[in-house]
Amino acid sequence: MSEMWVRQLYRGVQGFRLHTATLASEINTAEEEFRTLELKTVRQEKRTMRDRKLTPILPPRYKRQKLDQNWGNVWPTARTFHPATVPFPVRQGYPATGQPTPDKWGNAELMKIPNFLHLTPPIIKQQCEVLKKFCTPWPAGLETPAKQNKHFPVTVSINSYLHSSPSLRDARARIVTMKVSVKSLELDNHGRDKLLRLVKDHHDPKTDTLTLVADRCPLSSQNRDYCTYLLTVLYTEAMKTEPWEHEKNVADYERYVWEGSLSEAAARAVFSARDDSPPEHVINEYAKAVVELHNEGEDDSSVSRYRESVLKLVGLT
Amino acid sequence: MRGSVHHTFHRLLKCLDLRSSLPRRTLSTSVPLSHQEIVIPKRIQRSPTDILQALASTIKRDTSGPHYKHHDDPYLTPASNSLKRMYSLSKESGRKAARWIRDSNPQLFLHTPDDPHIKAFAPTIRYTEDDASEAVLRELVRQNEVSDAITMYHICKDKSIDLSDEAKQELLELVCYSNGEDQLEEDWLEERWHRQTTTTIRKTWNDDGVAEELFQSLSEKKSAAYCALIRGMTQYYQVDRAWQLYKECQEEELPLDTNTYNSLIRVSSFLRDASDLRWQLVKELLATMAESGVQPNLGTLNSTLEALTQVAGWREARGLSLQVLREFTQAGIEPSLATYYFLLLIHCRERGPVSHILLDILDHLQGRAFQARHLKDTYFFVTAMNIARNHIQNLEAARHVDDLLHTDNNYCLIGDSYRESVYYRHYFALMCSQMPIDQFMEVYSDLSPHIYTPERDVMEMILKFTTLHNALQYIPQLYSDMVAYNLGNQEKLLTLVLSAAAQHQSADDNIELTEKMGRVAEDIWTRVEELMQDKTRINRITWTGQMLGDVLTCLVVSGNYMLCQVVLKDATLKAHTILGYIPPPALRVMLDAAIQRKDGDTGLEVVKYALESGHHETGELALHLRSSLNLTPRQKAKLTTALGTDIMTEAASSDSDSEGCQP
Repeated sequence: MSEMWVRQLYRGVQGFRLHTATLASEINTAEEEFRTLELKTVRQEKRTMRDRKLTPILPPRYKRQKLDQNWGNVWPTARTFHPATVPFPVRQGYPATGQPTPDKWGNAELMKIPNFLHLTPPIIKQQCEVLKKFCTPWPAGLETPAKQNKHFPVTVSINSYLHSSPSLRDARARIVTMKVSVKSLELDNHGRDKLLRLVKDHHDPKTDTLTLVADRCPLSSQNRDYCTYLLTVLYTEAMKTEPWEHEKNVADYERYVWEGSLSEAAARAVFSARDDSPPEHVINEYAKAVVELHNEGEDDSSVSRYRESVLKLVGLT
Repeated sequence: MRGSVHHTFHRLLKCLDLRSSLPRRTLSTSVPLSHQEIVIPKRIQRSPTDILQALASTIKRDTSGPHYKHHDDPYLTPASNSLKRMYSLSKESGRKAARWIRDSNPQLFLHTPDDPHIKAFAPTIRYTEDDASEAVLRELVRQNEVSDAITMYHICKDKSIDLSDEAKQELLELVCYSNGEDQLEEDWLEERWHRQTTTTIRKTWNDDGVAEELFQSLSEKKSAAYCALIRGMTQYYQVDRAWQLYKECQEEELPLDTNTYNSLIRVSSFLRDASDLRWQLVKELLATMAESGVQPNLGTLNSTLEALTQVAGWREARGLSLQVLREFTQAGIEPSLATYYFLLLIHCRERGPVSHILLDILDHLQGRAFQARHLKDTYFFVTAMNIARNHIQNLEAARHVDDLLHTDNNYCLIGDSYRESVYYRHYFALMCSQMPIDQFMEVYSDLSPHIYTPERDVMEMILKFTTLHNALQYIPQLYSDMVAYNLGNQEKLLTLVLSAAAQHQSADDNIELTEKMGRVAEDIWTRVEELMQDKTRINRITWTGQMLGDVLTCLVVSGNYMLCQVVLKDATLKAHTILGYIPPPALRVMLDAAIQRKDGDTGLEVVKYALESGHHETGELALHLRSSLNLTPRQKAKLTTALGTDIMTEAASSDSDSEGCQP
């Protein structure tokens, strides 16, 4: 029994330490001296609070823990830090002047932060072992993301929400997002152009992904069906050619095409005037530069390429 | 080109054809593309809580801390049995208070954000007289509100509301099952856990209750009504009337169901007096069952064995019980733990021959997981441990019982807190008497206080065995545990602790232990003194001479001389409150200590005390004091007044033989 725990055990016992001394002195005075005559009545000392019998407490829990204990049994779930249960010394916090870093006892800093004592590596391993029986093996043939995208080009995302409240419902759980890479639809140029015109903003040119978001129905399954329907409709429309599509003229073209453009006409006019046509590759280079300027936009490199090609074309290099 | 693209799109759509609720279908490849067959395995079905249960199976009870229902804090951890009970019941009374507030103020709980609606959180509906109707009555019966249902029935009768036979049958069944009394709700787990039921068997059936009235008021007394009434009456031991009803059924040739027959078999010993007649009645009932084509079930097996336990003194009983078990097992009925409980009761009787059936049963049941299938399943483990301790005194058997208890979820079948404590009491007693003390102390430190807090008798046994095996190093721990478990004011235990502590011999290698023993003695002294001054104490401890002697010995050995003096003075002053006298060996030790410290006054005190106690050894003590110390004239005078001048002359004569003496 250490000193501290003996004191803790008897912290309610009045006069624990003084008992021996007072008794001795009382006995001595009773034996040896005369009783003193008291003329004035001395008021009794203020009566102290009635002795609350405090229950003896046990030593803290970490003292009973063995070195080879199963920690998972002691700290099974996420729990606020408790110094008496955690068996190691740990300090946290800014120290007061001349004081060491505050220890774990009564340390609000340690209690505020999340501790992951319920997820030590051996426990994680144990839990994973137990969860394995709910898992099926990963399908063969889907090892790399490339293969996965090849076989399953469509991605459907549905979020579910968990609340620490009596209600299960969350309105956001009905939202369904469907992503498909337009390349995997294997459309021809006309189909692709038509599809992109139909979907406009839903297509991300950088990743070439078509994103469809549905939240108009109350249930996520309904929204998912709606996304499928939308995709089907878009595809079939893209495959169709309407009779009035032949009215598409140069102004409607989504990309600048050099063949049959004014730039080609002007160049051919120049060559025919000169009776001299530069080689094909030079013309192609010029065509490429012009197309790039129109489609990609102007910047230093493309403008300089145009300049180079024009000079080559005209024969000034 | 288009055709192949179409196929591509169909393939794409097939990927989409995956509803989350249905198992995934394999992706077919009727497409002439070079895809390998991708087979997606079927999702493994799991219930909503399967994952949680799997994770929970990785966790077992940790003995270093309290049960999870208590706060895990040194100041809030209960150590003694009374504290454990108090803490858990007070927590539950908080829940009861909350429910009371909710039910008495339903107008404050109209806001229900829960979706889907949780019925348990909503205030219970209180029906009034105006609501009286058959539907309301049936609802009350469905909700297991016995007294409310009976009141509603009376209201319906007063208002002449016709009740259908179905409603009456339902109410009859409820009243028979509960004997017209409200049962403790299933929500109050702690109360159920701590409740101590009396096991005396006496008639408690409420003869003036609603049951008979309901039964008579039925327009057509079908067999279901008879069954309910017979079962209720046998449950509450109104056996005669139940037998009457059974006879009526036989005359009217109404079929009865299995459980009714079971209940009659169970109480057959109250219908006949002699053992063989009782067994005959049981056989008759079983034969009637067979004739009517009623299939027996587990309840039949257990009731038959229970009937045999009532005649267990009969020499045929043991053979018959095994026969019964064999026949029922052959009929395909799997015995439950209650079956084995009854077998143990029949075979291992106190005043009968010793039977080792427990070992066979344990071999048979090894490693099995059990569920509660019969009411008396929870009696098995306690009885098994009892028999292991008292009947066969076999530690191995006890270990097997304990292993069986701790496999899978079998711990749920321990019953309630009383049975758990009795189980561990037997286990501890057996281990204490048969295991080497070191091993036992390991188990003790593991299991107490959080799994089991030893009671006074068990603690007494532990202390006795520790002293017997001279394992005195455990005494301080046992003492501080005793104090923590609220046994620190038990006279018997304190006596044992002190006598053990006094036996301790101080040596160079156990200084720490000597110190601890000294502190133990000091603590006991302080504690008892404090208790004696407390006027409200119901059970006060009286010092005995032996106890004080042990205290003195301990204190002297540990070197706390000052306290020794105080103790001695106190003993002398309050000699009238002490039972007996401090024994001479302790006085001798004290005297030696006084002599060592050349404290003549204390030495004289010792001698005076010895004289007043009337010990024969007073003379020896006085002589020893006289010869070992140079006493002042005053002290010599005191000695003379106490013992007479002879002491001086005797001393002188003995001194003359030894060297260096003074007159």
